[in-house]
Amino acid sequence: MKIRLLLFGPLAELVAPELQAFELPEGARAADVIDALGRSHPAARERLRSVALAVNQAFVLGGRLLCDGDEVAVIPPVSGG
Amino acid sequence: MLIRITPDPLDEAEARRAVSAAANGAVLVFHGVVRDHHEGRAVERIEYHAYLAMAERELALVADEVGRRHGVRDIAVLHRIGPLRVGETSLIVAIGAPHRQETFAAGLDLIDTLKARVPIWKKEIGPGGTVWQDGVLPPAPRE
Repeated sequence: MKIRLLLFGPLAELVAPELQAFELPEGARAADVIDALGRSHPAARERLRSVALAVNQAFVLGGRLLCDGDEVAVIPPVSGG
Repeated sequence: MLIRITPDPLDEAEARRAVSAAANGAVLVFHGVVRDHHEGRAVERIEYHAYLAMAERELALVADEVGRRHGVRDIAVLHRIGPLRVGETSLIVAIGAPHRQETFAAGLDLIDTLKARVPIWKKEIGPGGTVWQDGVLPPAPRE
């Protein structure tokens, strides 16, 4: 299945921005995206240790099952205000 | 409730109008402003980045939760994104309520919760270079 991957803040600079359409096996869970990114982008592994996940613009736990077409965001620590 | 994330300068009068009502004897308006230092470093500018669609949605959830916690209905939150100079307003929070106590309590709670959850990031630019400011990892959702 194909998901739409969004990366933000310091993570967006460590991972190639062209990685917008991301292929995952059926049955993949949200946390699998972090593992896959860590394998393809070793330089981002340190940052990937401390992230939250959102699917279709709502925070989820890593165990959340993904569906084809989901918008998955990897969210590093936030600093608004 | 007025919630907006925008690259345009923030309008304090708009926020104040949004929380004014005949029953409200207290109106609190807070500005978050870009300052010239952070953790011992000199700061010239801050670039605010957001996951725009989710940030507005999460901000609305935060305002709703805070409103219920403090029994306050009239809340406005305006957050700016893009490049800001020292002295510019990055955030306006306005709270209107019959009495002052709940406006201060709700305002503080709202800003603390926003900083812990809303997907916005600060990139700091100063004479020493550019750095993403350390942030707060949002709490795991209850499912």
